[in-house]
Amino acid sequence: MNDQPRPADRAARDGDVLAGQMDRALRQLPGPRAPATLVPRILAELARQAALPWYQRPWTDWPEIWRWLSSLLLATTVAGLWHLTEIGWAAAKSTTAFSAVETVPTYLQTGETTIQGLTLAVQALPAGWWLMGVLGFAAISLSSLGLGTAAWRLLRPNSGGRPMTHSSVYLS
Amino acid sequence: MTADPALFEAFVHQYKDLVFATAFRLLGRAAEAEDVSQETFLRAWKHWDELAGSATSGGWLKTVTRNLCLNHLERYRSRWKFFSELKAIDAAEDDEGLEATFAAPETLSADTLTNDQHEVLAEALQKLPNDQRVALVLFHYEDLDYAEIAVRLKVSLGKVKTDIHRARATLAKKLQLRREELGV
Repeated sequence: MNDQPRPADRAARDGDVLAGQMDRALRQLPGPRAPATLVPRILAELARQAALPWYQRPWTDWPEIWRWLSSLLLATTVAGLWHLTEIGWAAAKSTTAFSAVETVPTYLQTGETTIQGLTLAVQALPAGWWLMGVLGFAAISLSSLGLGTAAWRLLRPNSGGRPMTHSSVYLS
Repeated sequence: MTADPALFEAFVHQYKDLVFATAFRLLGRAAEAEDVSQETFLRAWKHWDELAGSATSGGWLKTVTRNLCLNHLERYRSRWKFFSELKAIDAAEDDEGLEATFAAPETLSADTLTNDQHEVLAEALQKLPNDQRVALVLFHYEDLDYAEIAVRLKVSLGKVKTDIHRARATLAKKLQLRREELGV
């Protein structure tokens, strides 16, 4: 498989006596044996992971149809949000609200005039915009959550079924 | 996954000692080694389609175990990095006189070790400082050369050489002391 001499053999050949001696000593050491608890806990963890519903498993383990659908949903959400942002921006530019917002800096001289400017801008907003704003905020929040979850599952394939560990007891 | 769990269980039984030994030598603690061994086999299960019946599955397991151990050590490295770095500075300064400081014991004969010496060596290996033990194990058991170890551990080549040399000297000294105790 690998025809190159081992680094320890090379070191010994190059005159590092201690390296050669310790290499022989270390290679003679019988390897530590796995504890009897290892196999049962691996099998238990596999059984636990297998019992999880598909949506709690890593995204990469989801049924293919759900992976496609979730990808499609995600892509549609992102594209929709992008489109909505463009429409919203264009609409905002054409309203008096936008021009009121644009004039806000001129009211910054005193606190009173700033409040007046903001009040004007808010009053100039059409009633339906409030609903749109709330819906837009909700959509952005949900898609951010979805994107975050998808990224987490993609980048951390084991996040859905991480093994239970007990190292923390010794590391604390 | 459509893999046969019985086959996988046999696979775990076949390689559990190899994986655990690799992890234990690098980590020096049985509990952590068991955690890493479990994680290694869980990953093996995910790649079972490629590993089942493969002649290279042992190598795959060793590599994954080694990487998981190094990641684990790196995560907790901040606990001992400060002192480790101090030692590295000392080591770099003392590098010239290193051979004289840690000259190999002339009477050490490691050709055949008794069971008693095995125990002494295993215990001494486990008690080595993390940075020394990890570098030594990577060199002697994982067959990485000094430069590869330096890259993997993100330390200087000089520090790797020093750590390994100090580790060997410590182990040799322990063995020699034991021989003297026994009057061999």
